Amino acid sequence: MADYRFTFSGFAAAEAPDPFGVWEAPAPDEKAVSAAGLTWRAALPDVDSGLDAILARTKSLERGEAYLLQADAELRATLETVMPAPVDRVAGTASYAFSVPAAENFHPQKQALRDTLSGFAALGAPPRQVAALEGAVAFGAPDAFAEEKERKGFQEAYRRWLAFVEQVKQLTSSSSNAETIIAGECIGLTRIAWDGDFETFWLPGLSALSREVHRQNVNLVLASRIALLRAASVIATGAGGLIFKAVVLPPGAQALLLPAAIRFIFDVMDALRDWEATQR
Amino acid sequence: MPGDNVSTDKPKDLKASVQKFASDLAAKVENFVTDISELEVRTYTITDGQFATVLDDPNKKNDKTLSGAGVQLRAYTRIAFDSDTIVCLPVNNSGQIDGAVWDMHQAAVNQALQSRAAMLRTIGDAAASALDALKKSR
Repeated sequence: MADYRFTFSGFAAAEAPDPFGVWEAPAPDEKAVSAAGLTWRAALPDVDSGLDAILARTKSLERGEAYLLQADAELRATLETVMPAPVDRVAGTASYAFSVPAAENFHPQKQALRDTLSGFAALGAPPRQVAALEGAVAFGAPDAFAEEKERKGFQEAYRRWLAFVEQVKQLTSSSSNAETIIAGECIGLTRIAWDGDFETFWLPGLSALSREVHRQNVNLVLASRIALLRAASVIATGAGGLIFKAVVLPPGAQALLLPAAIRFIFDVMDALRDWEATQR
Repeated sequence: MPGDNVSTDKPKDLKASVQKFASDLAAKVENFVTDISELEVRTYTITDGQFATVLDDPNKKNDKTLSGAGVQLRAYTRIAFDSDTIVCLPVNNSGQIDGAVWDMHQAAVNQALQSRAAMLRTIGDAAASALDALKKSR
């Protein structure tokens, strides 16, 4: 079977998976043509099938963008069900009633979100814990979760948040190299500066089809960069919605909801992609 | 790896990280608007096997235009903010426009124009969303 490889490298958090499922980390022995900046590489066995492979990835990215919108809609719909529950204030704590019907789509993801919200809410009231939270918000809070699964869930979400922030930071400050490799040979490389300037390096005498393969690869890279930035926008908006609902949280703790939002959005996207794979 | 020390090892603050994320994006939009006063697109041909030598030459890392053994600038376009445009056309040995290089260059110019507009719009949206989330968290 022909080997088509779409890899990205140069990110500080290279092991962070592409939420759109298009690009993967390179093998350890796989080196970029140029060491400077971020590299997005399409390594294709031949030019004839290469164009189809790139166009298929472009479709895959488009589906991923639709999943992002769906995940955003699911988060908004879920937020509608989040309500402060004053009945639980007996022991001086606040918590959330959070309806998650069993037959609902994305039940595990919504349940995880509920667990995180419950964990935050439980942090809200006892004076000792509030003081701890205000003193060291980020690193006090995960350890203060009552349940181990909540703590681990938050740690994972926090890790994804940091990796994602780093990705966005690098995307908006480093150049991106789009490399097209055919049968092990680089035929074209386009360096895209963060402010939009382009430099393209071609082997002379390429066929029209080879040129089209590289042009489409550059389009895929450009679309992938935009998609990651759109994800940042959706995550921040989703976190804003969570923050709006979480008004009973201690001062400063609302910012902890950004990792909760990123976890929900990416997990729903993963679930949609897995579902799509089972339909093939 | 980011997040390895998520529990208690380092005195980092997630809220500070969120604030930095939002303010960095906002600053990026500002810089972007300043820096996009002109767009430059260069198309080169390069000798087989010379990519790394040419692209990573430490002596040329500040050069706006690469030149020398193994690399040749074939076409150049600069579009200023007020749409003033400079175009250097590629010609072959007989003085005719090299159609293949010109096609590649035009395609790159179109990609660059569309990409820059999309980046500006998307970074602006992300910064606005992050700043809005921060405002709600205060």
